[in-house]
Amino acid sequence: MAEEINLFGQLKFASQHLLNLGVFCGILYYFLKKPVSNFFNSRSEKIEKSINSAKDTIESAQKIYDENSTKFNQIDSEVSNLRSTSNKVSENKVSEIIDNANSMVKLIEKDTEEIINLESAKINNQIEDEILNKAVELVQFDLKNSHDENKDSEIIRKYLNEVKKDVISYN
Amino acid sequence: MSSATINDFLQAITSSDSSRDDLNEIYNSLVKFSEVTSANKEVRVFLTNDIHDSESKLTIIRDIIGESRPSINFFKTIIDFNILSDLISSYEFFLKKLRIILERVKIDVYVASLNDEKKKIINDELVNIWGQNLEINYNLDVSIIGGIILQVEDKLYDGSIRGKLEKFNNI
Repeated sequence: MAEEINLFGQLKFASQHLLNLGVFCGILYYFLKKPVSNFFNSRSEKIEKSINSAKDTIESAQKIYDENSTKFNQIDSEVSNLRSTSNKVSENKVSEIIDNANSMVKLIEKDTEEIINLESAKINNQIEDEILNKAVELVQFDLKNSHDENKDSEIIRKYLNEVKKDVISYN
Repeated sequence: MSSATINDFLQAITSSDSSRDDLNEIYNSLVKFSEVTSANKEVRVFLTNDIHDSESKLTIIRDIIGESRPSINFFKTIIDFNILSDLISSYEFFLKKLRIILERVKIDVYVASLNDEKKKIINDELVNIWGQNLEINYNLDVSIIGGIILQVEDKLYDGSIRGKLEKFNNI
C-alpha cells in the first residue's frame, strides 16, 4: 500500500512539475516568440540583402568582364588586321623592291652590253684606222722610194688630160 | 668702206676709156703692191693711217710699183676717194675682177719636185686647157709625194698622190 501511495505522490509531483514546465514554456513562448521571430526575420533579410548585393556584384563583374572581353576581342581583331596589313605592306614593298632591283639589273645589263658593243666597235675602228694608217704610211714610203721624175711627169700628164676633159665638159 | 664701193670703182675705171694695156699695167702694179703690203707690215700701216698725207703715200706707192702712168693715176684716184685701206684689205677681189676683164687665168701649181722638162710639160698642158693668157705660179711641196695640185681661181684640182691616199683613207 505504501508503495501505491509513493507512486501516487510521485505522479503528482511529476504532473505538478510538468504543469510548471508547461506554464514556463507557455510564458517563454509568449515572451520570446516575437523577438526571436524578429531576430530571424532580420537575419534572413540581411542574408537576402547580402545575397542580392553579391548577385549585383557578380552581375556587374560579369558585365565588366563581358565588356572587357568584347574590347579584348576587338583589340585582338585589330591587332590581327594590323599584323595582316603590315605583312601585306611588307610583302608588297619587298616585291616592289625586288621588281625595281630586277629592272635595274636588266637596265644595267642592257647598258653594259651596249657599252661593251660600242667600245668593241670603237676599238675595232681604231684598229682598222691604225692598220689603214700604217698601210698608207707604207704605201707613201714605197711610193717615195720608187718614185722618179719620169713617172711623176707621166702622172702629171695623165692628170692634166683628165682636167682638160673636165674643163671641156664643164664649158 | 665696203667692197661694194671698190666694185663700183672698178666698174667705173673698166668702163672708161682705159686701154687693155693700161689695165694690164694696173694689174701688174697691183700684184707688186699686194706682194709688198702683204709682206711688209710697216708699209701697210703707213698707207692705211690717215695721219700721213696723200703725197707721202703716193711717194711710197711710186717706190713700190715704179713710174707707170696709168697705175700712178689709178692709185692717186684711190687715195683721193679714201679707199686705199679697202683696196689693201680686199686686193684679191680687185685682182680677180681685173683678171676676168683681162681674160687672164691665175693658176697656182703645187708639185713635189720641178725641173725644166716637167715645167714645160705642165705649161704646155695648161696653155692647151686654158689658153695663152695665164698667170702661173709654181710652188714646191714635198708632202704631196708626187702628181700635181692646181688652184685655178676658185677651183681646186687635186691630182697628187697624197690626195689619192687621203681619198683611199677616207673610204
